[in-house]
Amino acid sequence: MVLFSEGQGEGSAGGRRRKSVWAIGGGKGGSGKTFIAVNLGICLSRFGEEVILIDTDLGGANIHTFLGLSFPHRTLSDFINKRVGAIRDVVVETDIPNLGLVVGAQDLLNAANPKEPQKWKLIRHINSLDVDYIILDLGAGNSFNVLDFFLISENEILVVTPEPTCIENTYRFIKSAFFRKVKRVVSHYGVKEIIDMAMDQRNERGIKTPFDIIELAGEIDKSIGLKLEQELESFRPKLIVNQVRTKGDVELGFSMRSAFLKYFGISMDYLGYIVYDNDVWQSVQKRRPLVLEFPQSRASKCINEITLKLIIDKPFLFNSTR
Amino acid sequence: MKRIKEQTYYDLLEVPRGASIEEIRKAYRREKEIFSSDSVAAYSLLDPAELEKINAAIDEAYRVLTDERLRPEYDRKLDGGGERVFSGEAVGPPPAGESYPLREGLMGIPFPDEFRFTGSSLRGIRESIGFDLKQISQKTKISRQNLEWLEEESFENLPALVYIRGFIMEYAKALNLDPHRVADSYLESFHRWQQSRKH
Repeated sequence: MVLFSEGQGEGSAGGRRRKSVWAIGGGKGGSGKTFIAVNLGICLSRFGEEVILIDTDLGGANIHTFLGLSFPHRTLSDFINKRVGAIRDVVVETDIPNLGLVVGAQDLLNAANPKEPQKWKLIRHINSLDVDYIILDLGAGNSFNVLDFFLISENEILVVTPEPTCIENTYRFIKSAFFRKVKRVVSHYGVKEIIDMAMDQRNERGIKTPFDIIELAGEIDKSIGLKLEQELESFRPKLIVNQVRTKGDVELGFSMRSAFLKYFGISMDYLGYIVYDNDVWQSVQKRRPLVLEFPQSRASKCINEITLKLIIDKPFLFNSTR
Repeated sequence: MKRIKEQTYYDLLEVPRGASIEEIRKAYRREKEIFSSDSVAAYSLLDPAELEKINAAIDEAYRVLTDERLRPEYDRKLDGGGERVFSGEAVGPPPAGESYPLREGLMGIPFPDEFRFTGSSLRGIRESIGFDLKQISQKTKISRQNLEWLEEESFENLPALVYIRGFIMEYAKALNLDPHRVADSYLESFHRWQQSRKH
């Protein structure tokens, strides 16, 4: 029996189910991206959905450790280095029903730094997997590889912990992702130059916000300005605050959403928070997923709640007036 | 997507049009805190000049919306000018001192049309709300064993269809879900199982 099959290739949507790709990213290492990716995947699979977790942390893969699995003999390296022809060949089954896993590359050379065509081939193959949900666990940092995986997803999820450095990295990640997103859709050299300039915080033209880019692009060519405006409107990352200890930490999500709204002019969805819980530490030590090892823990309930919000695609707004 | 200068005073304070003075005061305090110079949420995103501009806009919004003469004038201007006004959907955190209770049910939050209420999805919903089978059993008066079979879709152990429908509707009610939709969706699995037995 083929548990996880590949579709009929690009563009052949006939007969395939509606699939949703979620990316878990956020810039800073240690914020809990892999922990959240694994546990969200398990929660989804328990809803009866077929899920594949993909460790896209090229060069630093460790998602298998969170599932208590030893390093499998088939990994993303085999696909990137053309030892296998299709991504389904590197999907390994887990002992959790409906949950498959693609372990990331651990090579230091080729697979850790795939060339552009290799990366886009990988992305095409990921998109062709015929399952209900694909969860991408992203590596740390703002490299183009990380950003491109983030941007192909339907749910672009950011994980932040209540620490200034992590918050700073998260904003940097969001800005980089937006700049990458708009740069991919414009071909005009002058506009590309403006976007590059915006990456430098102290640029000579004083470009700071996405609106500045849109305005300048619009001055060069009105249609490009409008196009960038549409890109901004479709950019709607979602936020999870992890390791919450105080009410102030919970409110950080709302505060970041508000700051983001004023800066970008669009709303970021605050999906919720995960409490700081000793059970999390214990589950990681035991190499057992939290939602299986401690299903009644407070952190497990938070993850379940977030999964539900994502499934129903209506992040509710913690609004006391509703 | 609105730039700061295009945002209405209601947008700026993130309150609905009909917000009371007390709600506006709370929202103002919250926004001032978010955009204070030592706010962790804003300092790395906005530079001091941008923070100053936003604070000035928030102050202005507060001044107008708490003034019993200026606010109706402003509202008239919004209505007459055809400007987009805040939908009232995205409101900030609960007022200070209130907690963030987990919802005890999902009524009112629509599931997508294609969402399937299967045994495993019902178990997932139950667990996410924090109920164990014992609690559901107490609420519904359905035995724990039958609930387990419902979640496992162990139809061969369950009683006749009419009972299963009754059970599943009670179970759905306990989770604050639409009982008819859940029963219709769940019983699709039952019918498939029944068909497979005939072949």
